[in-house]
Amino acid sequence: MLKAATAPHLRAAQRPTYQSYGMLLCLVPLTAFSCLHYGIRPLLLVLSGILSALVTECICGLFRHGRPTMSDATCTVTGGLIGAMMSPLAPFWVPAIGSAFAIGVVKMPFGGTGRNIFNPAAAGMAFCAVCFPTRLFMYPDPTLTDSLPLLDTSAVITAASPTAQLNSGGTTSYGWLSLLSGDFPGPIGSTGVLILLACALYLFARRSSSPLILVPYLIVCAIGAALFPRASITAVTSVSLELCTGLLLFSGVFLLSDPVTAPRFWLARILYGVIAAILTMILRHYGRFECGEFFAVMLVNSFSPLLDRSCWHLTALLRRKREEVAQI
Amino acid sequence: MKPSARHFLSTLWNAFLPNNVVLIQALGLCPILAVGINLRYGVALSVCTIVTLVLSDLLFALLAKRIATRLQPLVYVLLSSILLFGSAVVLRLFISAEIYAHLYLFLPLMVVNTLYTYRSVIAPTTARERLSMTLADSLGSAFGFSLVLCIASALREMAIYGTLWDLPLGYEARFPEAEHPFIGFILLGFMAAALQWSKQLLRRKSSEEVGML
Repeated sequence: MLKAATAPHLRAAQRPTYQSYGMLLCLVPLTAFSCLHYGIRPLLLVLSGILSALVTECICGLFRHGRPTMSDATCTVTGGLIGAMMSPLAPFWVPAIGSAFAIGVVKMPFGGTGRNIFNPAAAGMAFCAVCFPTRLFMYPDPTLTDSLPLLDTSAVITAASPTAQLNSGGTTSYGWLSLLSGDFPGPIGSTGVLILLACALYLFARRSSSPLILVPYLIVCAIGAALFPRASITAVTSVSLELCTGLLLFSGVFLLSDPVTAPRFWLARILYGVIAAILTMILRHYGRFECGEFFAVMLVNSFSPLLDRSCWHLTALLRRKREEVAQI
Repeated sequence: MKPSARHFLSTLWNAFLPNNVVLIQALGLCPILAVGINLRYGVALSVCTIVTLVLSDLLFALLAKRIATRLQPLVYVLLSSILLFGSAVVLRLFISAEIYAHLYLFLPLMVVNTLYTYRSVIAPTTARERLSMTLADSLGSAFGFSLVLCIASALREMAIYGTLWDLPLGYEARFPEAEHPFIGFILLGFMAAALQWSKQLLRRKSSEEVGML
């Protein structure tokens, strides 16, 4: 008997909590890596995002069902992702507000888990970027040996991120080794490039994420970076800088592969990754913010149902034509 | 109560809230998003809308029979433009040049927004019915638009400046980002959801009462 169920449409063995625990597990080494550079502050920022998401989900549950509810761990992932996309210098209230917005405005009013149109973490980050841009894109110098102070960060020496340097059209001093070792200024979860790649492989192995989205996304971003470098640098340097810095890799691994907002059909997934990459590169070139990946994710989220439908019809049409030719 | 009076009141109420032009029909959003950051501007725009909408609808209801059908929308918009121009001049010369300076970009949009009630003006057949139904629908639509505009303006003014009608409310918390149009969109979304929820609640209650009877 056919059973109608709401998204995410996972295999029988998988539940939303299975997927959420996988994502949360990936956030642990990323946060730990940032803590190695900057002390305990990055961990507290991630926890502040998670706590705010949990509280907001409980309040929304109170409104909807008359009692505080938490159906699964997806809100924890949303809060954790928002915390991980913050600068280590961001005040603690910024991820808290971003998470509250993501759960209270983008997720719960649409019906909760599996019914949201846009990725809540991307929307929460977009909200923070529009409302508090000065707090979001100011990064500490990673060569500092001291841990960051917990409250007053005004005396911390800041450094321009490679993305900001590319945005201003200047050259950047960060080479391959710095990029791979995460020795450059950037958001908490995005500087550990090798860890991010390991996380992607782990999520592929768990079948929590699809390579059909991430691989085309990275390939098109690399082609865009090679063809249209933002500064007077070689194509190879441009590709390495674009792929490893900012939130490009992070959003590819964690935001784009969200099973609720990503398409389900294989061809639609490939196109989804390609469109996301094109939008990301356009926003990097012409956007107002140095990290506009979450805007690209939200934009491509809106194409997702259309892509699923049109690609399914297209492949069905091609199959029918092929069968007709075979019969003749 | 006479059936005609009941019909008039039900049309007025229906246009005011259950079928609100902003929250249900999603019309006239642009001025609310742009101007709705201060209650004074909100009230000024509301008054302009009420005057323009009601007068243009009534005048058009009187003239409609004498105008060729294909020319009716054109005449209607021209009439609204003339009335809006008049109310803009009154606002600038006799009320406040400062408020006019804030609103002048969005006043012409109101001419387009008066088209909400155009259908109700041309739909009824008899002249008397046309006049009364037009009045009810225009008043309901204009006051419904004004209600939403004033609530959104007041809430955003309180969040951005901590004031209401430019009077300080005595708290320090500020959220200047509420000036962004996207915050206005989210606010209108929540207001629309609250209206739908209350309509659903009323419907459930009335069906329960019918069940008890």
